[in-house]
Amino acid sequence: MPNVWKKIDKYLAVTRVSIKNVFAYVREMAYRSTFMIVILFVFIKLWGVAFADHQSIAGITYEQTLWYLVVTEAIIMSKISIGNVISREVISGSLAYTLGRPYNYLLYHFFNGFGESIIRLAINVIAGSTLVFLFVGPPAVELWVVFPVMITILFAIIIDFLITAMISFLAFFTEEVSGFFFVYQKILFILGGLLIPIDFFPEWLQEFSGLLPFQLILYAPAKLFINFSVETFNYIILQQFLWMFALGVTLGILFLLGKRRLSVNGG
Amino acid sequence: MTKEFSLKKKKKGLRGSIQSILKPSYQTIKAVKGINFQVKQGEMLGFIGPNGSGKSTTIKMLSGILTPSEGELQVLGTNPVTQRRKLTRHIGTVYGQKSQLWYHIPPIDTFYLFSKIYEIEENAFKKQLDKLVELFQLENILNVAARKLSLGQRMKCEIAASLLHQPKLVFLDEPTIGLDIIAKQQIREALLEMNRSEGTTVMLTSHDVGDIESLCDRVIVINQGEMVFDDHIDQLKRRFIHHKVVEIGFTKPTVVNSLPPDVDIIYADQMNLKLKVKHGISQLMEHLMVQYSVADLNINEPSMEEVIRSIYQESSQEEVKNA
Repeated sequence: MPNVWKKIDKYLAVTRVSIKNVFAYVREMAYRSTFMIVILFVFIKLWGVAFADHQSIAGITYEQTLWYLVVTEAIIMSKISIGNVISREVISGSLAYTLGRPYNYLLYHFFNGFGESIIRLAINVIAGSTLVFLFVGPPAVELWVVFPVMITILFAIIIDFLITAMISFLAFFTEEVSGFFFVYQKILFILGGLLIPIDFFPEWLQEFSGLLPFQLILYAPAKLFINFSVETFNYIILQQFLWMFALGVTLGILFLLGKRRLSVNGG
Repeated sequence: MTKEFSLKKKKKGLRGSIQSILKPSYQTIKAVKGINFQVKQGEMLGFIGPNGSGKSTTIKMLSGILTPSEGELQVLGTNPVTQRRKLTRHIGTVYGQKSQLWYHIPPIDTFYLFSKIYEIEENAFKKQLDKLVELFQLENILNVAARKLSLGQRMKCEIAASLLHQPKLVFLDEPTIGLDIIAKQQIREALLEMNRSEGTTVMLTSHDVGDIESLCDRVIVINQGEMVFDDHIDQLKRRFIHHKVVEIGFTKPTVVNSLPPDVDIIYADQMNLKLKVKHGISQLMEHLMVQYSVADLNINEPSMEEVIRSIYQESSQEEVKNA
């Protein structure tokens, strides 16, 4: 048992140090959240026009749409931005150095990125909520709903991490992966429901995105927040677990295959 | 032990670039060609060779980062390829060109993180930390953010970080690169002390001959992936130095016209003469003393750097001949 605790402690220590590291530039990070304010402000105005003649669209009100955006924007701006780091390590071969330590490479990177992620999430949620609160008042939800939503956000961050890491590991096989990141980002924007709740989409597109993991990263937690029910929560968690498992296994295989191809010249 | 890399070969120009996408052609490069050696426990081994000779590749194979294409290797009784995780707990690595300290936070936090990563007991960690702090003189920089440290201070911390888990074997890849003389000296002394008190085996690569001379008993020279020398450091000079340098100062302007065979003039003016002598120093002395009025005489061995340069050149010339 103490052995397991040591393992957990190891990765928690990574997160602690990463948070400490982040605090060195936390102010810059806060400045970055002004971007979130600007985006939200634009959408407060845009959706204001769209909702001018409607009480609600696809069962979602103007206020709900804005709170939905707070959640999706906060997630997308706080997700673990480790893709470039990993793919650069793979391409330059410096991955080799990181492999020379007694930890799991992926877990290390997850807990490392997670530290920064938490701080950014906190900053962005506070900034976004404040703005939307000023325009449309508090969300029509009970406070405790925040906790289950947080759990789905945590899993959302994990799913995104797994996909990002998978794309990064493609660098073992291709020489450049920024194109894949670009495509992934755009997919998240649309099929993930970043700016437009998926409920607004035509039927077939809704069904299509329901088959994919992307909506679990942004749409699912945000929708859960504005329209909470225990059933939805359970359903989302189940889906998230299945995808984490599937992606995790694929990622593991990809890593094993890729590691064999690793070649590091000179130094 | 051999390591081959397959390199994507690209032809010249845009046309070549397009071709390489459609039909990549690969070229196999042998970075390490059948080298073979053993290291005793507690030994300090210098591992030198020109850039691209296969030093780092060898170290990466030994630390389990790369898999050899052929051959066997055993490090501390384990196979680095299959038991890499187990091995990482007992080896320390420092790559002079790659930092392992966290940039924004003080070294002490990185040290603490390492203690967790290597699962070091709290007490053992404190004891080892105190020891390293004293050895590398880190008291004043322990709590300064890593980005504010000088290169020398940072490198001391890097090395200390790699010794926290009391590794039995340490790979140091150019640990003194870019450092000033004092920092180099401090690092050398600390390493020697570490080796003395804990019996840490050290394998060191460096382009700085001073590092090798002051630290290592044994040297392996590797060039173009082959071992060209493996012996005690004194032997290096004995084996590769076939000449001495004699410097002569004259009392009055002199023109030297006759010299014994096997003596080459490196430099000459009216008052000074610098000669390269392969053998027969005493003959030469006699000759000079009798013929000219000598004011000053100096016999030098070529410096270690010259020795190493000649080894590199020698083996690369052979390479050309063989090819």
